[in-house]
Amino acid sequence: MEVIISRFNGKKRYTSKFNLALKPDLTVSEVLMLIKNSHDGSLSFRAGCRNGVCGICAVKVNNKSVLGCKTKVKDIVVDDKILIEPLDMFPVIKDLVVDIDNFIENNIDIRSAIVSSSTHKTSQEDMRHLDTVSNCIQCGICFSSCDVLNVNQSFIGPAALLRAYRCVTDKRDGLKNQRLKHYNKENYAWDCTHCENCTTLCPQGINVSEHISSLRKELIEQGLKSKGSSHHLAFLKSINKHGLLNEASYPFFSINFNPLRLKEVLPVGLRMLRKRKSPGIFHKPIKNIEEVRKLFREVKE
Amino acid sequence: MKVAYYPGCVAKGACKELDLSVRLVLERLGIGVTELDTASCCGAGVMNEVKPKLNHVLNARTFSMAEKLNLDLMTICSTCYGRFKSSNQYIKQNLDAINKEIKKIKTSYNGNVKVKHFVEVLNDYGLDELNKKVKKPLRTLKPAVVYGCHLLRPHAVENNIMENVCKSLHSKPINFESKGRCCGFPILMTNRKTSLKLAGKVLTDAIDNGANCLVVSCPLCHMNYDSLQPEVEKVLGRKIKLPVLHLSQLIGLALGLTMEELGMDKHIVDCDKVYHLVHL
Ligand code: FES
Repeated sequence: MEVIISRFNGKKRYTSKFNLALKPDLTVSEVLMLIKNSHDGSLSFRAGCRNGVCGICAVKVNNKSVLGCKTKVKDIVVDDKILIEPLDMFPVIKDLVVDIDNFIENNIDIRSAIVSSSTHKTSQEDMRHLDTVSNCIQCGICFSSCDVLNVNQSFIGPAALLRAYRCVTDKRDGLKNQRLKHYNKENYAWDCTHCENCTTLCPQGINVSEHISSLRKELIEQGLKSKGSSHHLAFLKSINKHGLLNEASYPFFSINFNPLRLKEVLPVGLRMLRKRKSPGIFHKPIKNIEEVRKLFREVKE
Repeated sequence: MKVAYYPGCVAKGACKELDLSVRLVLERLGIGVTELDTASCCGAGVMNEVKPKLNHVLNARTFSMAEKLNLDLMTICSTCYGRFKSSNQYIKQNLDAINKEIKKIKTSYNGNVKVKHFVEVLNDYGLDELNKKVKKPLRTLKPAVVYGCHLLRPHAVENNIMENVCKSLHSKPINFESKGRCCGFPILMTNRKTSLKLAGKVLTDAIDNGANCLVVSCPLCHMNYDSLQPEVEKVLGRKIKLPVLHLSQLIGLALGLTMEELGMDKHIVDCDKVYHLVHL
């Protein structure tokens, strides 16, 4: 099997290739260890618990970000080759070792520790919920594979938003209102596109994307205003009225008829009109719209 | 072969040409279509962030229509595909609770509907069959195929299914890293600049790898890549001018249909280039 490793020595990037007879059951971390011990002692990489607990061993293997210690070679090899690279989005220190300071500092930004203010007794049910949202091991895989972060490094990222949601829903925490206001700002909850790379790649199987949705739900329920909430409320209103989205009117409701934001919707609208494909201002509701409206009235959640 | 067709909001609104081309192509292939014309929006990843249960209940109403027809439900949109798949899964696990709600509008759902994307319907139809129908082989086309997040995540279609369709039409899909990347559309109204940059990343990656058109599986992607391409150019400070086609339009070209028949004259970025390449 050919193992190709992306290297960096502080000055330049290069690759090392090793042709090895590997037992298919070895993990990626074990392969790296073997190379370091028997072939090239200068290779740097991180390994800790080797048990999928500490989150320190994340690397990119054949273009997929994984935990080295939990990934078997046989499950990821393509054409008898594996290409091992450092995680994307982090500055490389040496070889496969990356600088995760920015990622960790986002935890400080969102105040990831709860600040107890009440004597609320945590119920079994509360704990079950907290369990599902507290399993993050800070491996950085979601951060490195987030499509939004790739083009906007000011975005706080999936792991921090998951943690934010966890804090907001911890009944012992006394900072809920301050927290929500903070997470409602640009580059926080509303900037996720739900590309779902995080959910798909999370080695802990956490549905990160869905928890980000729940965080937004909290923001809306608390009545916090933002471009995001005004978009979402306009969207629902349009469905209630027409069944399908009225694409001629809803963009205007979404921007709350804010004259400063008209330049976002007018040029596109005019461009479409010129091609005679405007969705039509007089959008007829779908047939049987009464059924949809009835469900809107009766299903509260 | 017959399917229950769910066009979705955009193909009924801002990109009607996509609905037009899908119908025409299915007709030419002899695939029967019953449109679910009383169905409501899939929720688009928006409704579930305000009223998740209502979202599932409305989708159960839509599924019940396809179930009564005893047909698979076909969408032509990656977002509808992802939402419907997730919703269907949830509903099946909570059949009683959901049925209690849709009983109020005198309907019921037993959880038997299969959700399929247009590209999967073509795959069922058979790519050899499709190949036999080709009148105008697309040898000169090098499409960059994009899946839109929700054909891949959280529920993935068969590996390389879009590329395989393209190959059966004799076009040569390029290999490029961005095929699974996000188009940015969901945050167009919340963080416009990031949204346009996301679209720009894919468009420029496609050009830099030698594509002469972009082929999408999703009308929402279509909006960001085509309708907003002038804005993307501004944000990136770079000319792009890459024609964007829905998969159905690419097939339509191979079946010998014209630009007008396929509604390609309605696109914002000029598609003449593509048409001339095919009819050299
Ligand atoms: S070494 Fe601890 S998670 Fe892999």
